[in-house]
Amino acid sequence: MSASSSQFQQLEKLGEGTYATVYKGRNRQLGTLVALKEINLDSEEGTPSTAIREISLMKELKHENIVTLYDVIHTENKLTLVFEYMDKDLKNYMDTRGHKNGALNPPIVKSFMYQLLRGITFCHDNRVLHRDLKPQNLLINSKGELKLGDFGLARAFGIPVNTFSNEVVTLWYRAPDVLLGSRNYSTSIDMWSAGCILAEMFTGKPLFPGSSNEDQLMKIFRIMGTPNERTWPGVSNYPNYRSNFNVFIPQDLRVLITNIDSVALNLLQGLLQMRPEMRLSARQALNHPWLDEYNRGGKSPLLVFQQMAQQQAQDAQQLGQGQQQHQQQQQQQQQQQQQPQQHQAQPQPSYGY
Amino acid sequence: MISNDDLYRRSTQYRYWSFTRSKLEDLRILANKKGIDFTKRRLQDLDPDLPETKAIKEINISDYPFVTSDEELKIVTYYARKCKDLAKFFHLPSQARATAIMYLYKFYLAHSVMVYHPQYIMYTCLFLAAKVENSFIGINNFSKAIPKTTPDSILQYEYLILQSLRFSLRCHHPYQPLYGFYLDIQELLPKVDFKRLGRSCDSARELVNESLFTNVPFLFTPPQVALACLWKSDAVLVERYLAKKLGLKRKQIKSEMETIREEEVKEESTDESTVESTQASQQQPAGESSDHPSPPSSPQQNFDKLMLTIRKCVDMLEHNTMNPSMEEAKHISSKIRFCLEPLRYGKKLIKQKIATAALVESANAKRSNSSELESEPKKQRISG
Ligand SMILES: Nc1ncnc2c1ncn2[C@@H]1O[C@H](COP(=O)(O)OP(=O)(O)OP(=O)(O)O)[C@@H](O)[C@H]1O
Ligand SMILES: [Mg+2]
Repeated sequence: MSASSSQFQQLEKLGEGTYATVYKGRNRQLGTLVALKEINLDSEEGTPSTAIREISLMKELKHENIVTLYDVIHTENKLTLVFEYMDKDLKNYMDTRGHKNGALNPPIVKSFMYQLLRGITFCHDNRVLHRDLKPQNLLINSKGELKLGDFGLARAFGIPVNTFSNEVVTLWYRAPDVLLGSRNYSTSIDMWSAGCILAEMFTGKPLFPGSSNEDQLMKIFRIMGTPNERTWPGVSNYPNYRSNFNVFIPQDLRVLITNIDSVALNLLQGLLQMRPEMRLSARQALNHPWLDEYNRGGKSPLLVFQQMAQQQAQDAQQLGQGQQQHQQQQQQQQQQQQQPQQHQAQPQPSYGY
Repeated sequence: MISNDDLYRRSTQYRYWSFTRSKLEDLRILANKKGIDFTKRRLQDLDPDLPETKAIKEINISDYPFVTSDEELKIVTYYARKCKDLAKFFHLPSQARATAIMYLYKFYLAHSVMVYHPQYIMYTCLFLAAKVENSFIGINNFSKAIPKTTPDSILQYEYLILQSLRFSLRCHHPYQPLYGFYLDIQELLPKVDFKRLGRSCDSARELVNESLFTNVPFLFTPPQVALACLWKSDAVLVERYLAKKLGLKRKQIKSEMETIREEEVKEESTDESTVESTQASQQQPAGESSDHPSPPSSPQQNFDKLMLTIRKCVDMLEHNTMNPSMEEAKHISSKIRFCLEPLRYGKKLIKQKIATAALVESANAKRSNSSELESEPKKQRISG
C-alpha cells in the first residue's frame, strides 16, 4: 500500500476541483493509466478534512459504480490519491458526446441512470451520503461505465440521525429541504440530485441553475410549484421559509423535457418530490419499471455502448472507403484494436495499475 | 438485500483489524522485536569515543532496559486512558473518543513504543480522530490546550499514523449497536420496564467505554461487544430478549443456560479452542442472526452459540481490562526514554559507577579506621 510518487509519470491535467487538481498518470512499470488527485498540504491543519473524508469512505466502498481508490502517496507538501482512470466526467461527456445542445440519447440516459442509482444504493446501504452528486463528479470510462467520484463532501451517517451542516451539494443539485435550512436531511438529499441529473441528461441543460440560495429556491418553485402547508405539511417550520414567497403553480415537466417517455417521467417525478420523505429511495428508484430491462431482463447497461462502438467502427470503415488509402488503414487498425477490448469488457483490470 | 452482517464483513475494520487471540499476540510480539532491534542498532551507531557509549558497552546487552511486549501494552493502555480524559476535556463525542483510542492501539500493532513514544502518538491520534469523525478541532486550539506541544509536533505524525492505519480510518464501535438493541428490545418486549432498560443500557454504555481498554475490539464484532456489555449489566433481560428474537420458548432458557455454563467450564481449560470458536462466531456476528440463516440451525443452537460468544467476551472484559498505575507507567516510560536516547542511559551507568566507587571508598575509609585483622576479609569481598 505504500507506493512512491516516482512510480507514476504525471501526464496532462484532467480536471480541477475546489480542493484538488487531478492529473492523468501512468504506472511506469505496468504502463497502466491512473488518475492522480493531488491535494496541497499547505493547510495549517494538516491533511485537509475533505481528503480525510474521501480516503476514509473510499477505503470502505468497493463497488463497480464507485471509482476505486488504489493508493495514497505522501510527499513533502502534497498528498496524492491514486484512483482508477476514467475518461471523462458526465459534464464533459455531454459536451463532447451529446447532441449539439448536450442532450444524450434516451438509451444512454437510461444506462447512466441505472448505473448512477446502483452506485447511490451501494453508498446508502453502507450508510454513506454522497452529498455532492453532480455531473462533474460522475465519471465515465471508455466502456460506458459510470462511477461515483469525489467523496470529499460525503459522510457516514448513523442510526441517531446527526444534524449536518447545510452547506453541502453544489447549489443546482441541492434539495429544497436543504435550501430551506434543514439540518436533518438524510439519503433523500442524494435522490433529489439524482433527479436533477436525470433531467439534465435528457435536455443537456441543468434543470435548476440558480445563482444564490434564494434564486435556487425560486428556480425550483417556478417549475415544481411553491410549497405551502397543504402541499407540504410542516414546510413553514423550516428556518428559511417565508410566507411571502412568490407563488408559482407546478408545471408539466414534459413541456420542459420533450424527449422523455412517460415511464421515465414517472421515475423523475418520484425523485423530484419536494417533501424529502416522499422522495423515492435509491433502491426504490433502482427497481423502477423504467429500468426493468436491466433488473429483470438481465441486460448489461454497457451493451448500448458496445453497439455504439461497433456502429462507429462500421461508419468509419464506410467513410474510409471513399477516402485516401492510408487513412483507411489507420481506421481499420483502430477497429482491430477496439474489438478485443469490447470482448474483454466484463473482467475488470482490477488492481493492475 | 444486503444484511448488516455482509456490510460488516466488507468493512476494513473486519478485513484489516479482526484477529484471533494468537494472531493479535504475534503482532505485538513482532512489533516489540522490531523495537528491540531498532534500539540495538541505535546502540551500535553511538559515537564509540563517548564515555556514555563505553559505559553501555561494558554491560551485558541483555541487561539493557528494553521494554517488554507486556510493558508495551501497559504503557499504550495508560496513554489510551489519558486519551479518553483529553477527549472529555475537548467535549468530543464518544464515537470520536473511541476512534482515537483504537487508532492508538492499532498504531502499536505495527510499531514499538521504543521507536515512537505513545504520549506524542496519542495526541496526534486524537487530533486525527476528531477530524475523521466530523468533530474537527483547530490545531492551534488543540496544541494550546496541551502543554509542551506545538502544532508541528502534533502534525508531524499525522501521515505516519494514516499509513500505519493503512488508510482504513472508519471505525465501528459498540455504541450504535447498543442503541439498536435498546430500540429492538422495546419492540420485542413491549412490557419491559423502561426505567430498568434505560438503567441497564446506561451501565452497559459504561462497560463499552471500558471495553476499549481490552483486546475485545480486535476479537469480537461491535454488536457482540454491545450484547456482552448489556448482558453483564442485565443478564435476565438480554436472555429473554435473545430467546424471543431467536424464536425460543421462554421455558427453555433456564435449562439452556445451565448447559452453556457447563460447556463454558470445559471450554476454558483448553485455551486454543476458545480462540477457534470465537473466530467461528465472528463469522456470524450477533445482533442480526435473523437476517442470515447461513447453516440451518435450530433456535436453541443459535441461542447457545450466541450465549457462548457473549460469555467469552464478558470473561475477557472481566479479566483483561487494564488500568496501569502511574508508578508502573513512570517506570516503563523511563525505560522508553533510555531506548529513545541511549546516551541518557550511558550517563546513568556512569553515575552509578561513580556512586558505587564512592561507596566502596567510604567503606574502605571506615574499615581502615577499625582493626586491620577484621578489615582484610571484607575488602576482598567487596572487590571480588
Ligand atoms: N478517476 C478519474 N479519472 C478521470 N478524471 C477524473 C477522475 N477523478 C476526477 N477527475 C476529473 O477531475 C475533476 C475534479 O475531480 P474531483 O471532483 O474529485 O475534485 P474536487 O476538488 O473534489 O472537486 P469539487 O470542486 O467538486 O470539490 C472531475 O470533475 C473530473 O473531471
Ligand atoms: Mg468534484
